[in-house]
Amino acid sequence: MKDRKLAFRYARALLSSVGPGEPARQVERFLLGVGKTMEESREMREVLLDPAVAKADRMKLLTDLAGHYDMPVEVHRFMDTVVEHRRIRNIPEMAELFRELREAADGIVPASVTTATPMDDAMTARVRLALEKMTGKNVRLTVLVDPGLIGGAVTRIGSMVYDGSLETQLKMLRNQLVEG
Amino acid sequence: MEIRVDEISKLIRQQIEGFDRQTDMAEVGTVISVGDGIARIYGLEKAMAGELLELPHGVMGMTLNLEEDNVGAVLLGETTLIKEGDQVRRTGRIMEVPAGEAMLGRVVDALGQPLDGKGPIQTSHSNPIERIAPGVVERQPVTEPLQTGLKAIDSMIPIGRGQRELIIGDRQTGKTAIALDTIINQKGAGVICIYVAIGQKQSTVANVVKTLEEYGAMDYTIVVAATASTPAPLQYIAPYTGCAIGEYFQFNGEDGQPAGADNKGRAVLLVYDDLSKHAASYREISLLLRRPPGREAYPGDVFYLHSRLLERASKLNDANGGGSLTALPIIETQAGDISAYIPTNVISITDGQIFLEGDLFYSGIRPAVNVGLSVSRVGGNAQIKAMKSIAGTLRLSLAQYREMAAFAQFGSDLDKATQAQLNRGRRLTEILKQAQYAPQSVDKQVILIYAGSKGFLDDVEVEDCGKFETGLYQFMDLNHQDVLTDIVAKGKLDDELEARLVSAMKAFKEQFVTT
Repeated sequence: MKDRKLAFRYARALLSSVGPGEPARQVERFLLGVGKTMEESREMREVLLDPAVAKADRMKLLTDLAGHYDMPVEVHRFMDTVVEHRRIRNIPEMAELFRELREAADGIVPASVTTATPMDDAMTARVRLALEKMTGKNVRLTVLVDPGLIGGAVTRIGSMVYDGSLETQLKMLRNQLVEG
Repeated sequence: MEIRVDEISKLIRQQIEGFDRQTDMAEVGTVISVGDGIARIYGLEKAMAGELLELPHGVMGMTLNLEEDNVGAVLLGETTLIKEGDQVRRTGRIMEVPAGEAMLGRVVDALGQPLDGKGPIQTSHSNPIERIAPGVVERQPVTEPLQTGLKAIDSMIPIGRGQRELIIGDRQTGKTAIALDTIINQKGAGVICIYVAIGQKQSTVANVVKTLEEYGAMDYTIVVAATASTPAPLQYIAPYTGCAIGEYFQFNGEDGQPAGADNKGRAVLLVYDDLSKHAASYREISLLLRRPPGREAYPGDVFYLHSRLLERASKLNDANGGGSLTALPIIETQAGDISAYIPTNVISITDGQIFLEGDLFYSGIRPAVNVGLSVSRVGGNAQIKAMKSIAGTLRLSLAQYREMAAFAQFGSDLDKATQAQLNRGRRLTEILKQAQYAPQSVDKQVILIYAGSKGFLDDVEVEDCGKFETGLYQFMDLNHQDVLTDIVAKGKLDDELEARLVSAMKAFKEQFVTT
């Protein structure tokens, strides 16, 4: 979330050149993979972000990677541009925003459900169904667990939060008792 | 009375049973960055401009910048508690403050919360701090006087109810003193006074409150204090808060119901002390929000900042209750420079200005009003006729005196007429001097200025003018009470009343010269 504006421009440009549908989904998986590796692997970061490593070498590494996963030629060029503009550091955010844009284009909304104890698969499916019915769109559901909620669930769709957790209920009850 | 524990438990149990379990729904954003009282928030796509936001630890925020990918908000309260990643909730409300009769006599902060330790304020009303000023249709011209009790001002720079009159001058020239005298003079006049202190020292505000209490003026006064130690956002909203509280009294009758043709709204006097510090705090916020700086680094909308505030001063027509809101903004100049950015802005917004000068102040002319540079653009219609008829000659005599005095410094060979004018001017200047916290009623102002401008003082030594003034007041109070009451009742000096006044004056002079 550090530099969304910048990452947004790159992601939008890439999406419009790749085009919607299946190719975009593949590119998304690749980009998210690169982003994740960058965040997790120290070696990868050191090679990519070290100014002592020649630009050409870094460019080659990224394009080779794209070639290895059979990425379309647009992705190769995208990587070239990113290295040329010295924006390698922002690849994880670009991947994140690419996904958001792609999902928006495909009519998918991201949502998250947080519960106090883990939900089983049947329950998750029911929640997904309920959310899809409510929004009228496909939902990409992230399931989180936070024991601090005590009970109930907190659902988040976009920036709307539906808080039915016991923790919040108790807080509201406390306010009501204090204020009389 | 004995209170039993199980009764309390029963009450709580009832409340818990009656608790309505519902899902809490809110639009939530995340703090991206925070610092200097400003937070940038991601999310909140539907937030309104000026909307109130709820942050953790009971801190409130107000949206000011709505950008493509984030919202810039100012934090009102303990900003050090907020950190990156905190959740921010929309409230769906525009910023508002409590307002009502219970606020009279209280000292509150920019959010309307008490600062004087006299317990919570119970009000049923709340007003939005930003409000579009009453339109042309709802207003009527300014015709009713707002007496400041200061001879120099009530005679030559009269202020009407609903007017905006700027008080401008260097530091330590008596700007606040004029405002305080005006507030003290409203005792018994049915005017609600609100004193807004912006960016001042806590000790100064404490002094003001003490003075007002001493003169019994706190009964009808509210003090809104955003002192120098409060964050800039609170200093920025303080004058709007004062105005919102004032509008309650202007738009509601004494029964608390909306004013109308048969329910009169009240007269309100608002003092903004001072708007230069207000502009500075707005500049601080604007620069932190990265709005482009303009002249003197003030943002482009600093004119609108003050014009929308001062436009809310108004005199409503009778169908709307006839309430009025008079504004006395104060501006501090640097070394008498009234052509700086903020002074010129506010001068052009207001209906006139009272210009105070350090040189006059130190030469003993207090209030140090520069009569040449001070004007009141609408107050003339609000003066009572008696005052209006004698003030014209007063202004003229003083203008001529100033011109002559400048020349007279070069030589002593002056003809008789010039000497007479100089004499008259010196005495008029003398009688316009007035001690602090000693406001004078309009009838006494009239007789004194009448005495001065009709030449009754010409043969009194300049040093004795003060003595003459107090003596005259005593004499009139004792022997000619009827003249004083008639001036107020008739409002004008007709031939008959003037004759009585002249004979009374002559009688006093005989007695005064002999003593």
